[in-house]
Amino acid sequence: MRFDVSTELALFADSVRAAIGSWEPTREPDLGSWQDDRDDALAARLTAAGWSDLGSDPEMLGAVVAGAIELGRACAPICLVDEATLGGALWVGGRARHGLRASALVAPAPRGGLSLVRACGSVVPERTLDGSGSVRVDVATVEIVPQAEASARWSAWAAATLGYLAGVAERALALTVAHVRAREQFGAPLAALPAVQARLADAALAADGIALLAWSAATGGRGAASAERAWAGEAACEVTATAHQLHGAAGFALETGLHRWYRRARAVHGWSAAVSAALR
Amino acid sequence: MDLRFSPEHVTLREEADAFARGLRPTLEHDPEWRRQGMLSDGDSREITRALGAAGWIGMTWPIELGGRGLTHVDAALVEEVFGYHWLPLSLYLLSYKTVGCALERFAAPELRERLLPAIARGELTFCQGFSEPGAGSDLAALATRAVRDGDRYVVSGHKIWTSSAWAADWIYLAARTDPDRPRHRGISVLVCPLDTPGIEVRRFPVLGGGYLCEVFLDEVEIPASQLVGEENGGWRVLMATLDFERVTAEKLGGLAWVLDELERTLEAQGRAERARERLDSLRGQLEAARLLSLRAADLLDRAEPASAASAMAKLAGARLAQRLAAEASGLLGLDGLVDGEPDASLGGRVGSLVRAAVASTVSGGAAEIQQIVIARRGLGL
Ligand SMILES: Cc1cc2nc3c(=O)[nH]c(=O)nc-3n(C[C@H](O)[C@H](O)[C@H](O)COP(=O)(O)OP(=O)(O)OC[C@H]3O[C@@H](n4cnc5c(N)ncnc54)[C@H](O)[C@@H]3O)c2cc1C
Repeated sequence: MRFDVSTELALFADSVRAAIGSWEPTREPDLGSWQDDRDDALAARLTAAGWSDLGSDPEMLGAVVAGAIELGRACAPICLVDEATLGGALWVGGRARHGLRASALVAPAPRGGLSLVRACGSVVPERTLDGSGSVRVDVATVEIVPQAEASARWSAWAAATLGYLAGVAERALALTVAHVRAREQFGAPLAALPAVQARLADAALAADGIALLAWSAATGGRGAASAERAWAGEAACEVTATAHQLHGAAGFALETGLHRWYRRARAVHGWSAAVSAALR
Repeated sequence: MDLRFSPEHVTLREEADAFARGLRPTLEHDPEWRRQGMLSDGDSREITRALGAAGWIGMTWPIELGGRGLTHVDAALVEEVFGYHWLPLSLYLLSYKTVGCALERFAAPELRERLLPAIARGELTFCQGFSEPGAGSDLAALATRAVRDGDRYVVSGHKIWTSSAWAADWIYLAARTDPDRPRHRGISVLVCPLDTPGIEVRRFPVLGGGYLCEVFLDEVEIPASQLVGEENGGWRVLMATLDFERVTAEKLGGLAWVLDELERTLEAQGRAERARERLDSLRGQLEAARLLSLRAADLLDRAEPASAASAMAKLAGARLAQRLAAEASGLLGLDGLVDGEPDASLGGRVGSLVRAAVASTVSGGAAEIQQIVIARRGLGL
């Protein structure tokens, strides 16, 4: 066993990070409205950095996780995960995420199957908690992806989802550690309070746990197994809740942006659970 | 002990229910009402006026001050009903339950007579200016200065996270009147209209779907007759104000609606049985939180020390809000992410509750501060 990331993967992560740069969604969320943070310019920069169709090649799982962690840290559009691993926008249970302007739609099928589907009927944008661009749409199957490719793609998607959640948790934790070091109350930084340290310690072990599950999936762990994603989703939600708690009211103001990771963790977790149910 | 409702309680709640139902049609088309995830945090001058006109504000005050001579337990039972109907209650809660009740207890008779009847009519609303950039959990660090100059105070400072300041008429201010005394002993409470020269309010959007404000005070002149309690005796007033604030019966009412609707939705989908254990446990937690809240209200009625009990009430409600938001979102699957679609499960309110619930363990004192109050005042640690 080795717990360090190879130089090659670290370099790939660097290039994904550079392509993301200081990306942020182009506008503040209009809460309770339909939101879609898809960004073509960002997608083009990432493609140039090598974040393109990685899902069908099991050799690329390490790169998938390394890149997805960076995407999660930036809270980048989740369609970047779906398109690079599944080859299209994800459709499940009557909904597609980032379903407008999707190059293709793909859907989970029982026993780990994957189908290429096409929209039939109207595509109705649906207001949801975050910028995942959810639309309601019925679909018809166009093609059933061969099982070997399907399981490679689901393994990549599952590893990427874990990586994305790991990035979300890591960034929320890092922002919070910086905040409690800087914010003083009772004559000292919040970081000096044992209760604050204890809560951050729990968040740190959750974040590390998620990251290890992601790397395990990258190195031939249990692939598309739903158990890891089920826990990782909950744990990432918990870490982002801790981030809000320790930011106090400052985190509640939209202008600080912390809410992006909080909302995204819940959306990714919800979609991940829906996919697990559909793959069973 | 007898924790049953009296026939009078039942009648009062029925009256409140009929009144709140009548207001719903005016709200349903308001996009702000849809966006606000913890509806009782919503701001509405219109609803506040309607509450006042119908005699629902100041229930615990004496009749001569515009009240109905009821108890805090009665008021909490009514607030649960209002919360159940998702009335926007922020101005009501600030003007009556928090600031108003503190004014009733601490303000000089002339000031009380000037303010309370107007509050009760729904014509005068308050916001509460405690927190500052440097004084959140550590409220005693507040730096806003009030300098006595003859028959007035001159106040300068910066308040932040002030709920409803953009919609309110007056502000209830905590300010430092003596910087040379120990921190807790040099604070005073003053009230003044928000259109007093030198006050500027900035409003900004928050995750719950509504707004919070900053209030800038630059040499604001406030008559000394608008001091609440004694000069430098403000800490006691502030702590009592928080005791009133922390009985959040209206939040429990809103959460009861969420739980009822969640159960109904899962039943309609044939999924309630699989979720039964979770639903039962949530219902039990809700009932415990309601009793904790009513117990705190009862201590307030009897003018007994209520800090530990009201901290428990607040924390119980806050924990339930966050658990219910997470459980509802999980049990509903992708429907649980919907935020603002009136035709979706639970009126599309689950996503907004998930957003708004974040603040329940921060506003009115962070959860950790409630824990400290419970440990010190309740357990004597
Ligand atoms: C929706 C909302 C409405 C509000 N409305 C008003 C209002 O109308 N008027 C007003 O004056 N204020 C208002 N506030 C402000 C509120 O009172 C403060 O947010 C609260 O007291 C916490 O202060 P803070 O945000 O500065 O957090 P900080 O004091 O910076 O604390 C941040 C976090 O650190 C942790 N922490 C802090 N101290 C301790 C400790 N001693 N032990 C362990 N952990 C600790 C907690 O997790 C806390 O949440 C509102 C806040 C919110 C979110």
